[in-house]
Amino acid sequence: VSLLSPKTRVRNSIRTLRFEHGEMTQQALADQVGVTRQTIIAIEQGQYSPSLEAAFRIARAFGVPLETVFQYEDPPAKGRKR
Amino acid sequence: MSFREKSAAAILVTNVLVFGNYFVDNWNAAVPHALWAFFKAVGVSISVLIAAHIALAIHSHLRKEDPDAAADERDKMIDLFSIRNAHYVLLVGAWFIPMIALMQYPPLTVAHTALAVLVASAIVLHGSQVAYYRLGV
Repeated sequence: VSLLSPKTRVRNSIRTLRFEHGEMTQQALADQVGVTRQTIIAIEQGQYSPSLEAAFRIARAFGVPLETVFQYEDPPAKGRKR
Repeated sequence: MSFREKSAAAILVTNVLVFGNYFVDNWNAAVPHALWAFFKAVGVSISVLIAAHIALAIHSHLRKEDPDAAADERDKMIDLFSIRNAHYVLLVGAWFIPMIALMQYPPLTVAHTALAVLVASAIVLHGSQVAYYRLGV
């Protein structure tokens, strides 16, 4: 049992999108999404993968599709045993 | 750091220092001395935590943070994972305490083992919270 979760493979463009939306502050985004500023920081830094609902709310705050905000990085292919 | 994270860190440090000191000084002490030391440790722990939380609330207020902010989904997930980790410790301890009793150790040792299990699970609970807040969940 792993007590600490592995690093998320979900990448995000929140920092860029905040910049493109008039340097929206983390607090302003947090208020719109309904989470704390620390949670926005954790999501931006890839330390926390938000729930699907929160992810949609973040995308809606920027007025863009979900895929513009979050991208999934494929895990490295495992070698096959022959 | 959010108020919740600072609160968890304060409880962790207080538990380690106060009860660590209690166990080092009183594990094999006479019952009346240990009993007095136990109530003293509980009193000191509560007093320190009240003072620490007042200080943390003032600090949060000065930084224009809301110490009463409702837990969001990340806070709740961290709480759940931390409670799970503390539960592992409590579960192992729950099996360990009757074993100590059946091995006919003195009642004070059995009581101290039970208290140590509770303190250890509290340390794991708040240590996990701090770790998940710092390292990610």
